[in-house]
Amino acid sequence: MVFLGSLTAAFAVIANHSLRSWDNQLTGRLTIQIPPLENGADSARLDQALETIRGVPGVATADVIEPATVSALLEPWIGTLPADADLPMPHLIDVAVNDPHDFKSTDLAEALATVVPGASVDDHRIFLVGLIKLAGTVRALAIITVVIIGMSAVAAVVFATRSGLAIHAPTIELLHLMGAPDAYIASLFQRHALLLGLRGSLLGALVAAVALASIARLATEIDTALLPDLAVRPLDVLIILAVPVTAVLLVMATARLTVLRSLVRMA
Amino acid sequence: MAVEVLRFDNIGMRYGVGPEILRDVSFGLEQGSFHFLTGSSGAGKTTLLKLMYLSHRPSRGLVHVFGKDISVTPRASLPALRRRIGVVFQDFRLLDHLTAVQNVALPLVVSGLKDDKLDQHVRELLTWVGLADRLDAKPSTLSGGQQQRVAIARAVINRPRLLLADEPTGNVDNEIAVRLMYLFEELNKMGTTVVIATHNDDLISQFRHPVLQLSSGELIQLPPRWQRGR
Repeated sequence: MVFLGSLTAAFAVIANHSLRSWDNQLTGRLTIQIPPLENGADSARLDQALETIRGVPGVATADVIEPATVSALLEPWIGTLPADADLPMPHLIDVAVNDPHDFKSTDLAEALATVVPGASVDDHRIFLVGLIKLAGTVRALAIITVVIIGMSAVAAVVFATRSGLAIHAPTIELLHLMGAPDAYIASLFQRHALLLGLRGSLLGALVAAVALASIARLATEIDTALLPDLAVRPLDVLIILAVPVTAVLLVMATARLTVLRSLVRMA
Repeated sequence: MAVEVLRFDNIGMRYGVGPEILRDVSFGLEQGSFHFLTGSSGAGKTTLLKLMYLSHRPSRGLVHVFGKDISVTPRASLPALRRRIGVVFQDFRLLDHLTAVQNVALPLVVSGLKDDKLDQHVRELLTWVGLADRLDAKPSTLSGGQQQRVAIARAVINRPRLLLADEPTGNVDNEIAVRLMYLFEELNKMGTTVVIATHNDDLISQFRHPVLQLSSGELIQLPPRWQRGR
């Protein structure tokens, strides 16, 4: 269960990173497309557009994307262009905003429409909204799965402890009659559960670590543009390590409470 | 007026909806007293002992142990009372995974008193009951009589104020039985109140102690056998 829980927690962490990264991309950057002019008066128009964009409140930077970069972006669709190709290429302006959550791309579009008719503002929403929804769902499912695994662990420990209580009933009754306080008897079961939980958690965490390392290694061999960021940060390690630690604490607490509740039934 | 370590007032006891095993049982045990508890099989001796060592609560009536009314004593206070009661169970109840020494030391461990000096005391007591050569033996390798002596040593190891023994000499020969009775008497001389449940009339007649006799769930208190004649 620790193995499954650790893996699921790792997936939740990765989904969370992707979600935040894509969300920042969605709201933090925009691309302005200026259609080419037939009479070649593009330079003045571009300067006018840049001036307008930089004047919109909330815009941090606005930079023209070099024609060579635009050509490279189009290369997968139209192939390598010859140096003397006279193809009308749109001008692209990369815009970064200060506060992504406070910025409205419609304000920028309205400001541009009066100065540069035909300019379009692309906030990447169409491409990223679906991905963000998917990552959000994966994250929610992963968290629900971790909770379900935790609940299953609690149920398993309750049944195991009850079996232990039934098996050791004569010993428990003897200790009870000798004057052992409930807390003392519960601590014996708690210690046993701690040792078992530690062993199981260590094993589960080790196998999960190997599995995660293998997945991360395999992912480096794939085009990373298709995959979310799999890099593990120190905080992520803490979150994933919290699974076995929580499992051990959960096992101990469950065993203790189960025994205490059972002992109350004795005189 | 002598202090009573235990008092039963109009005790009735039944298991579930079954018949009443004990009826209107009333008696008191003065500190330092020694009683035999006798009666035919099914008379209620074991049930009476269970009430005395606080394993069960009565269906009706009042139980006072060491001056405390059990019916109003909080559950959390009962272990401290139980630690002052030593019990020799009829079926010994030794823990099979522990050695004789470890079984005898168990009440000390439960009380948090175990140390090396006490371990020496445990070994001496086991030697005194004739088990010097079986100190580290597991109960399953001991005879019935040897197990009984381990159970007795366990019951007396922490010098209880009240010692209850259910047929403690049932599985030993007469010589060992008398030796064990002398052990109980020694404890009694040091202030321990002793109740021995037994069928053994010969044993009862050898010692000058009063008898609590159960008959069909009712208690009759008798003077020592030597005062009644045989």
